[in-house]
Amino acid sequence: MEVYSRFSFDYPYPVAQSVNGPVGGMEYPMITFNGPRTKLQDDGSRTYSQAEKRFLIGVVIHEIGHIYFPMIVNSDERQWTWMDEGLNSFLDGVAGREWDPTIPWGVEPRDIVDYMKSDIQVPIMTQSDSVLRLGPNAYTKPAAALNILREVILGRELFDFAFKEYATRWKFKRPTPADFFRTMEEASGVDLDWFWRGWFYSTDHVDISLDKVFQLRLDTKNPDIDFQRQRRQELDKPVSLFVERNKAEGKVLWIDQNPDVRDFYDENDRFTVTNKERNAYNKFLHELEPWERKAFERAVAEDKNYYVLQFSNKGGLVMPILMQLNYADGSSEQQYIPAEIWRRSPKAVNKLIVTAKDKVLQDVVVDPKWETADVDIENNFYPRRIVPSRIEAYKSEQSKAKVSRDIMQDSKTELKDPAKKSAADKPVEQGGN
Amino acid sequence: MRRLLNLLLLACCCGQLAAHEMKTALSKMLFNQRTGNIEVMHRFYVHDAEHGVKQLFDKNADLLNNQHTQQQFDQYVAEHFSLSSLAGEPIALSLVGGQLDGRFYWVYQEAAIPKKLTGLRLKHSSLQALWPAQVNTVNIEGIGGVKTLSFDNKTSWQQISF
Repeated sequence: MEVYSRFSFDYPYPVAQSVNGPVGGMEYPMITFNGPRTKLQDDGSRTYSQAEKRFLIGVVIHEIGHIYFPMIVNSDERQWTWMDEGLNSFLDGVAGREWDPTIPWGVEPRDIVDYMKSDIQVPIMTQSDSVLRLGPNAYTKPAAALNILREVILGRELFDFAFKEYATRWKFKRPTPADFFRTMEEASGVDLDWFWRGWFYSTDHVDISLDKVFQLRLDTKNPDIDFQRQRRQELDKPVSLFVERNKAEGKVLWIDQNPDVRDFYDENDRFTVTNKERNAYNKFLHELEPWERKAFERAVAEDKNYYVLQFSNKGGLVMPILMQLNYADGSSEQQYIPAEIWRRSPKAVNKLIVTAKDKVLQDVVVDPKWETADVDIENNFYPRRIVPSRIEAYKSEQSKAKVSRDIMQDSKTELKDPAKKSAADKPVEQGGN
Repeated sequence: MRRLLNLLLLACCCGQLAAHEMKTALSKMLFNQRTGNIEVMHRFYVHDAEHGVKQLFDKNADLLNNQHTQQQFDQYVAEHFSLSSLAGEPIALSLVGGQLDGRFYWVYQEAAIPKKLTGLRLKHSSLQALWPAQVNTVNIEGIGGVKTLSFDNKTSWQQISF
């Protein structure tokens, strides 16, 4: 109740009761019924399993939480079950993790992934009698959405303030979904239309794919540098296999056999610089404004790495892009691109990353901590990585069990003859008895 | 009188989902081209499965701490999930194992991907004899986009075509 009051208002009633009964859990104003019961053993003691303990803590928090939502912030349970169950599941997750985070409370983004990618669902904003699967739709999905809104999009400070504003503004009143959406936006000062649209009004899921990363290099415009670079690029390409095999066979080229056919172009390749290019370069520099020239010279001197990251939105839901950039020097960096990047092109976007010359990008991971409920992990890596399925992981864990054998010790084991062993063991057994 | 009270309480309880007990399972059937197998990964809420095993096997069954219960449950799920070709020839799945992971209990099965597969028939009735409300959803992945089938206690076999 401490947590619930921190997120809303002081508890206004004289009592909040939890009655240990035979039901899973049911809420009423000021009174709740929560199971399971302890088990009466033959010796007169009462015992319970660890799972029953966890269940009871969770259910008491949840049902008492209902006294706040919807008994005080009185949303319509029959119309919009998510307004009491979703908000309350979100808050019981907050309270639970403050109780003991080692207990798996749920409402983590990863828990909702498999539901969200399925192709038979209805939006959260469906009248509750028509909801296909009330569990994930009214409890888990909105709770996970609010969790993401708090941890990834708004941040705790803004979210907590806005949520408290919703609770206090609407206590003892009858809010509708629009009241919740509007109050959260008004109080946080953040336009969240895109978030409500995607999470509450659609059945889209999150699947952001990092399709490609390519590198650009700034031209110096100086022909003596750029032409040489282009020549280098040409030379770096693999040699034709045909030509290589001819050479291996010892074939002498026609132009080498007959030096008299050689001319100017055999000595000067197409990357040869002449004064024509140098004049053009000098003219280009001369025509720059002083500030332009300064900026240009600085950029050429820094010679930074320019990386273009190409993202596509395969799931339909727009979300912020959380990136981990790993560099060749072993360092890594987290970057956060707000969801507004998708504003003008919700299907695909490019992002330019500029790094210092010695910071060479090695690979990129999108959403490395699984915070956004992205359903396909494999396309979050560039370059791609093989992500083992659960069965593959399970099997490799099993085979790893063999690695943990202490073969050094086991190899000292003497080979025993079972016939002799039983004879030798007999007296010991008798002694034992 | 007490019975009446219990009935009343039960009636209230049925009116709304009791917190935490979801009565749903989600299975992922992955056509894993890397391993050449159809991998079936059934995900149950521990709260559902744990109460289920006590009713299915015996009162002392303990899904969290007892390996024997886990194996019994794995076997139970394997017997209640069936796969066949469109023509009705059964595709035998081997039981890989079970695993407890946080709030979920997973059961794994697999079979080699059959040649010339144009579709599949599926049935998943785990826990439905116990609880009529139990819904088992299967996501079929790795063969085009994600396709979903949902099984409640009234559905028997369902089929998909590729």
